[in-house]
Amino acid sequence: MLFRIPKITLWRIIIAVIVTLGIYYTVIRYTRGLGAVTNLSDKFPWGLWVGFDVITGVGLAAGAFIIALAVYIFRIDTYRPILRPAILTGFLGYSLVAVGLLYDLGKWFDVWHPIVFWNPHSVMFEVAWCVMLYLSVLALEFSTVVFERLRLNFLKQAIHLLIIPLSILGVILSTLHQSSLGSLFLIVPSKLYELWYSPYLPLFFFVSAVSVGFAMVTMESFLSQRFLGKGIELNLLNGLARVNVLVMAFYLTIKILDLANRGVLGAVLSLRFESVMFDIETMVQVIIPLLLLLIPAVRTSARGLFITSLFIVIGFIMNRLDIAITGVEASSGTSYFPAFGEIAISVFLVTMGFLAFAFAATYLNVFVHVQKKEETPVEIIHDV
Amino acid sequence: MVAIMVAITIVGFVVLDLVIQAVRGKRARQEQQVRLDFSDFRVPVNTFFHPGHTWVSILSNGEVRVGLDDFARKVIGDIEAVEIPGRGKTLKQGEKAFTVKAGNKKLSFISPVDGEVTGINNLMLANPVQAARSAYSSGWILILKPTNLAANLKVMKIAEDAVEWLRAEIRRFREFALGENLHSVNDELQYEVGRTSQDGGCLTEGMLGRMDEKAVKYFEEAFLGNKA
Repeated sequence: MLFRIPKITLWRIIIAVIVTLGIYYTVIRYTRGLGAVTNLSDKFPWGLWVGFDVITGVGLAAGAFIIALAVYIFRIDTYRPILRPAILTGFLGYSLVAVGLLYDLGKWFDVWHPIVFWNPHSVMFEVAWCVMLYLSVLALEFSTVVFERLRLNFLKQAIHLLIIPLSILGVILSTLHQSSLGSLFLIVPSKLYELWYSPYLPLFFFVSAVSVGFAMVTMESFLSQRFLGKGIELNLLNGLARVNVLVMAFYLTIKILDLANRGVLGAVLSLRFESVMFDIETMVQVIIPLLLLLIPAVRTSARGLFITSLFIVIGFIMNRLDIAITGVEASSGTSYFPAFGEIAISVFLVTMGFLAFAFAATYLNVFVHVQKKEETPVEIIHDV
Repeated sequence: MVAIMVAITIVGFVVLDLVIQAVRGKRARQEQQVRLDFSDFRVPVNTFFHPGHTWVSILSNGEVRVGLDDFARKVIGDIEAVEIPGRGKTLKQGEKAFTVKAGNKKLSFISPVDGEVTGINNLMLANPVQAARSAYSSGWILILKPTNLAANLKVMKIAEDAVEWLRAEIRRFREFALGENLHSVNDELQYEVGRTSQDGGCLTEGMLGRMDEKAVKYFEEAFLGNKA
């Protein structure tokens, strides 16, 4: 068997460094505990892993339920070409959330407890069950692609029979836990900074997850084109951008109404660190992308859509990290900045997600499903 | 600070990738042209192909969507601008319908059917380079309300016939690009276009852009059916 040394590129070197560091800190974390790799403390128990890997990760994977809702429930077949990549992203995103939790939980070996020891009064209990069930739904939805590759058509047909109830279940579960992640912070009204704390946090979490879901589907199309050479369905992404304009406008409106209603609108002009972070986050997540998408030339250009989606995704990440970390820092009486080990493991997990996506896109029929069904390729003409 | 750190990390990775792409793109432009891979040419089964390298897809409301085919797009290269007739204009099969611009070359395509223009693709006007790359989806040019569809379709190819026809067109274009079949044009042209073919006759994307005016004129007449 021939073994070829892969071509050495800058990205491959970077990935190799990230994976090596990730494995090193994983070993340290599981042999010497959380204290050896994190700056977490009893005063500040939720850091980068919960804020980014879990709370942000769940939101970034929201594209799967939105596209599944459009294709399976509303029967908008136009979006079928991006269904499989969206479901794959969702499945990998939620898998990484589960893996991230295993890093963050001090007693990670007790992760199964919510399955047996029920506490229906806890929001975390609901989130745990929703995420478990939704991960199972995504695994079943994506299993059709695997069964197709393994030529187990009877299994693929069996899943297809269940696809509508599965999709409905997926949408319900997503709606529940995307909003419940916001509910987690309803118990800290005195600890979370006033610009972020709101009784409507669950609604804000859900609407912003829908918006970032559209942006993530767009981003993954561009990344697939960049690294895997897959085509971009520009007209579909343009359609998603149009809908996202409405979603973001709605989000901005309810945010402003909420701030005004609670009498804290003036705090956005404060020079306090949290207020400045809130302003930056709102500009990046909503205002700049909204203004950009109102320009037809931006909405219809690949570069414009990419830049706008990047703004939305970065703004969304900032929003979740601000709520989970920045907004509670002052009240905790301590300051927190992640240790190098925490950062290394978070980057490692994201990298593993990218690699898993590339692996699946290379060996499974993730992108070409619809094309094959509708188009007949002109075979290679040997004498040309 | 954590939020800023994460945001800066993401932006840092994106900027790094942009730099890598810019360096690679510069190197690729210097080293070679993108070679055409014939397995990329595709023929949608529900689409009619006109000999002038336009396609027609019948919509559920009876109107037809029209565009230039994948072959034309690839040999022309990146389409930088499109001139499309306004809504309400009547077109006849075989008459000039729309014009595309690539580099300093302009090529006119003939209408595959008779009909009235009822829609134009704004995406092709706003961002033709990207839109045209998906020739049969985002790359459509205009929508016509046909007036003589049954007769018009008789000269078109579909499914297996379209595949056979496109294979023949690819062979014909290779001969043209190699300058093997141009005796009827003139010797000078034969020399000029034969010279543009690289790698022993392999076709490269956008190779029409590297041909001279005479060759492009010939292409327009012989392949696009535009005698004007």
